[in-house]
Amino acid sequence: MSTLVPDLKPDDVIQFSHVSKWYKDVIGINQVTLGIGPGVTGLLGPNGAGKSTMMKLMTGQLRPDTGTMQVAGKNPWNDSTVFREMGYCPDTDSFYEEMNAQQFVILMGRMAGYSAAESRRRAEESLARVSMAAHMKRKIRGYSKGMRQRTKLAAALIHDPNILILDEPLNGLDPMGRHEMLTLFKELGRSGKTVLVSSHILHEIENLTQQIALIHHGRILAEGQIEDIRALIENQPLTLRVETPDRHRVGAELAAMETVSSLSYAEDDNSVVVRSNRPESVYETLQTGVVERKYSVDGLTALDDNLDAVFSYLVKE
Amino acid sequence: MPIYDQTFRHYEGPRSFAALWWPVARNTMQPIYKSKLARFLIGGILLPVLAVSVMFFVTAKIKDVAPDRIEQAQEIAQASQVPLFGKKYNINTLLFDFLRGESAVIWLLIMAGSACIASDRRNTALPLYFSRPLTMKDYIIGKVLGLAIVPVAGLSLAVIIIYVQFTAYFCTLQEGLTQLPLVFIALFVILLVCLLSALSMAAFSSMTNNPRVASIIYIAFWLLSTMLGPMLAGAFRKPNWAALSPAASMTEVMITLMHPNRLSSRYAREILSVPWQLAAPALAGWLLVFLWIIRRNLRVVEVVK
Repeated sequence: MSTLVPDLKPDDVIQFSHVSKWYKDVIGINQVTLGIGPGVTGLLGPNGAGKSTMMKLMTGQLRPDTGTMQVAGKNPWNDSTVFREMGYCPDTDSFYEEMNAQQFVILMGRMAGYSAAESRRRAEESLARVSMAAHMKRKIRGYSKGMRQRTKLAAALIHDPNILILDEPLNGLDPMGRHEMLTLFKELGRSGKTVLVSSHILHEIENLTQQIALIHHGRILAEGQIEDIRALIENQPLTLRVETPDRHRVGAELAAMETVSSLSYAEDDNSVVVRSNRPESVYETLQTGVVERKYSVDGLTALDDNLDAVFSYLVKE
Repeated sequence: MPIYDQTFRHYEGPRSFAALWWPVARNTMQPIYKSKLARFLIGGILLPVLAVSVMFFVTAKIKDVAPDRIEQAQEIAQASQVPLFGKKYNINTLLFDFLRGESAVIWLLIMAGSACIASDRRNTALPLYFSRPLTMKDYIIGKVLGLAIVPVAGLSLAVIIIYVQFTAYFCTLQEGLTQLPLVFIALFVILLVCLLSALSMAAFSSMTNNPRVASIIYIAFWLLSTMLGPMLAGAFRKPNWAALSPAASMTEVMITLMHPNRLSSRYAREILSVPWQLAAPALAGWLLVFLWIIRRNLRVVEVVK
C-alpha cells in the first residue's frame, strides 16, 4: 500500500500541520497533517478515534500540544475573529433547556454580531431551513433528539458561515430528517462553503460526499476521494462480481490469470465473484473475451469499492 | 417541500462585534429576574429610599406643623445635618449608611445569580459561546454585568433620589452643587461594591456545575472572610490583617471616600484600624483573585481564549 501523505494546499481553508493533542496520558490526535478545502468533507472514524478532538481544535476549544493549525488563515485558539465566518454544531447537547428554539437561536445570532431584530429574522429563517419552524416556540427541554439536532444546526447556520464544523450532526435524526440534512449539507458544499461533517456511520458520509478523511487512534489514515484512496490500497485485492450467463467459461479464463487471487461462483447461478490485486487486468481480459465472442458479460460491479471496505482495509493495515 | 428549495436570504448589513458581552449579560440577567425573590430584593433597595423620603418630607415640614421650631429647622439647614431615625445625618453619612445597609441586599441579589456560569457548565454551553466571535473578556464582562447591572442601576437611582431630595429640602442650590462630587463618589462606591460581589459570585459559580454549591461557597466565603480577618487581626495583634477581609477593606475604602461624620463603635473598633493604603490594594487583590479563579476554571473545562 502506498503511504498516504496529506499535502497542505494554499487554498485549504482548514490546515492541520503535525498537530498532536494529549489528554494527560491519553493521546487525542497524533501528528495530524491535514488540509480541508471548500466543499463537503467527511471526517470518519470509530468512536474515540479523535474526530471530536479535531473539531474542538478547529473551533478553538482546545489548544494543540504540538504543531500548528489554522482556519481561514487564523489560529482559532487565540483569534476569535475566525468565528465570524464559522458555524459549529457540537456533538453534545449545548442548550438552555428552559428556552425555546427561537430564543436560543436568537441568542446565538446576537452573539454572532447581529442586532436583535436581525437575529430574530434570521433565527426564524434558519429554523425554517431545518424544518423547525413549527416547533420553535416550544421549550427545548421537551424536544426529541432529532429536534435538538436541528436546533443546533439552525444555531450553526444563523450567520450564514463560510465554514461549517458539524460534529455528528445526523445523530438522532429519523430517515427523513437525515435525507433533508444531507441535502442541505450538499447544497451548502455546492455553494462553495467548507463543510466538515464527522460521523462514525460510513454510509451516511458516502451518501453525502466522496471527499473524506479517515481517522483512527488519533492518526489520519487517509484523505481524499473514496475511489482514489481505494485505488491506493495496492495490496488489497478488489472484489468484483461479473454477471454472465457463461460463468464457467468466464471463471476458467479468470482463474488462469496470475493477478486473480481467488474466484468463486455466486449462488445466483449467473455471476462469478473474483478478487484481484490488479483489477484493470481483469477488465482487459473480460473486454477481450467479449470482443472475441468467447462469452458475454451482462454486468461488472466492484463489491468493495465503498467506504466500509476502504475503512476496514486501512484499519487492518 | 425539499429543503434546498427554501430560500435563505443572505444578510448583507453590518454586524457589530464591539459589544458581544451584552447578549451574554442579558442572558445572565433574564433567569435571575424571573424569580420572585430577586424582584422582591429590588424592592428591598428602593424601600429605604421611600422611608428616607418620608422622613425628609416630615423634617422639612417641621416649620409648617410647629412654627416655634423654625429656628431649629434653619439651624438644621445651615449645618446640613438632618435628624432622621433619631440621629443627625449629613449627606455623607446618610449615603454611607444607606450603602452600608443596602450591601446586604446587594449581596443577596447577586447570590440569586449563582447559576451564571454553573448553568453554562451544566448545559455544556461554553463551546457554543466560544465558537462564536466572543472573547473570554466579553464572556466575563457579560457575566459580571449580568449580575451587577440591576443592583448598580437600582442603587444609583436610589442615591440620586436621596441627594436630590436632601438638596431640595435642606440646602441652597450652591450648597447642593458643592456636594455634587459626593454623588459621583457614591456611584463609584456602588460600582465597587457590586463589582466585588458579582466577581466573587461569578468566580464561585465557575467552580461547579451546581448553582446551589456555588451559593454555599459564596455564603461561606463572605461569612468566613468577614469574621476571620478581624479575628486574626485581634488574635495576632496585627490590626492590618483585618484587610484580609474583603468586606472590611471595602468598608475602609468607603469610609475614606465618603467621609461620614459618624461611625458606629464597631466600625471604629474593627475597621478603622486598617489604613486605606492597605485596604485599597487588598480590595484590588481580591478582584484579581476572583478574575483568576474564573479564568482558571474555564481553562479546566478546556474552553479558553
